[in-house]
Amino acid sequence: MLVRARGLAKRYRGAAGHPVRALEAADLDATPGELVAVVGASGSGKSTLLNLLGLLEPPDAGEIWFDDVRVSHLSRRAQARVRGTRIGYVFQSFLLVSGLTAIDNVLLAARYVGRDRATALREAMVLMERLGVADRRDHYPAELSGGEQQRVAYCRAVLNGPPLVLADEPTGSLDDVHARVILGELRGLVRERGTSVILVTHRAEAAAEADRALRLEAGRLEHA
Amino acid sequence: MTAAVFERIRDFGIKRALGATDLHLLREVLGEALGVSLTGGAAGVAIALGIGWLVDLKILRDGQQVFLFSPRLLLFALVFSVVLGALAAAYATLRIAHLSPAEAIRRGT
Repeated sequence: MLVRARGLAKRYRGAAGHPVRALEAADLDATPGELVAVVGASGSGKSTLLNLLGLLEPPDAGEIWFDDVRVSHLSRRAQARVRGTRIGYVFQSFLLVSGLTAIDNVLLAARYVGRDRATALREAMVLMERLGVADRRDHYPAELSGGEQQRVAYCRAVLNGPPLVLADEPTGSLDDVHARVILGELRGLVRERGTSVILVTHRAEAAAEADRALRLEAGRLEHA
Repeated sequence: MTAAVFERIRDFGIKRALGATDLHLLREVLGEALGVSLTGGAAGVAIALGIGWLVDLKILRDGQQVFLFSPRLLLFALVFSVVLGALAAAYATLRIAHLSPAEAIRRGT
């Protein structure tokens, strides 16, 4: 899936009520089978960029296209469908639902897009087995280590085989061993499935693995 | 019920990021509200019946009856608790439905 963003801008209300510019006229393309790294200092707008690309919040200006569909201007219901079927998210803070077990967290991805539960369960178990968390399937997030939580979150992100995966500092809370596992999986998605991966990171190792690296500075996106 | 929904605002944000629509979330919340309200309502009716029976039995020994629970009254109490629970849950869900998934996650974290 070709991802195109044009002129994305976002402002937030700051602590004193003044608008704070998070992103300014950002353009970004990602082609199928491409890993794009976005690097930048804290507060440079990296997470905002991923939130906009992932339709997690609306831009103040600009457009986002997936192939020939302008997804940034779809209805709320249609955007929810796009999020469920075409985008996978991996967050630094994992964002697992605390009241659900690991397997139920993974299966959440399938629930809202109407997939057959038995098929989704089989696929989820294969994924969890590969990531080494199958034996933790009935544990709640609070009973899992950070590395385990991130691997469960990764399984949830890719369960529906989304053509676009957005990873926001996916290795930020992990040690080197687990970070390499997640980076290897993302790289594998790009090579084997032709997934577009947009990775926000401050790790030089992760950015070096990318096909293309972009730098965000003060809300502006430039080639690194 | 309203407080329970607001406490889970982060979970709603996560679920919407995974493709849940407002209708999905409303259905989930109403399902839970129905269970909680029915259980609570039934427990309330049972406690009221028990207390009424005890009062009539222990305090009034001359065959008089202070508490009279008609089936219609008990049914009304049950239906009232379910409707109130559902309204509270729906109100809270609609209050947070306008938030973007990212905003819901931020507020709940």
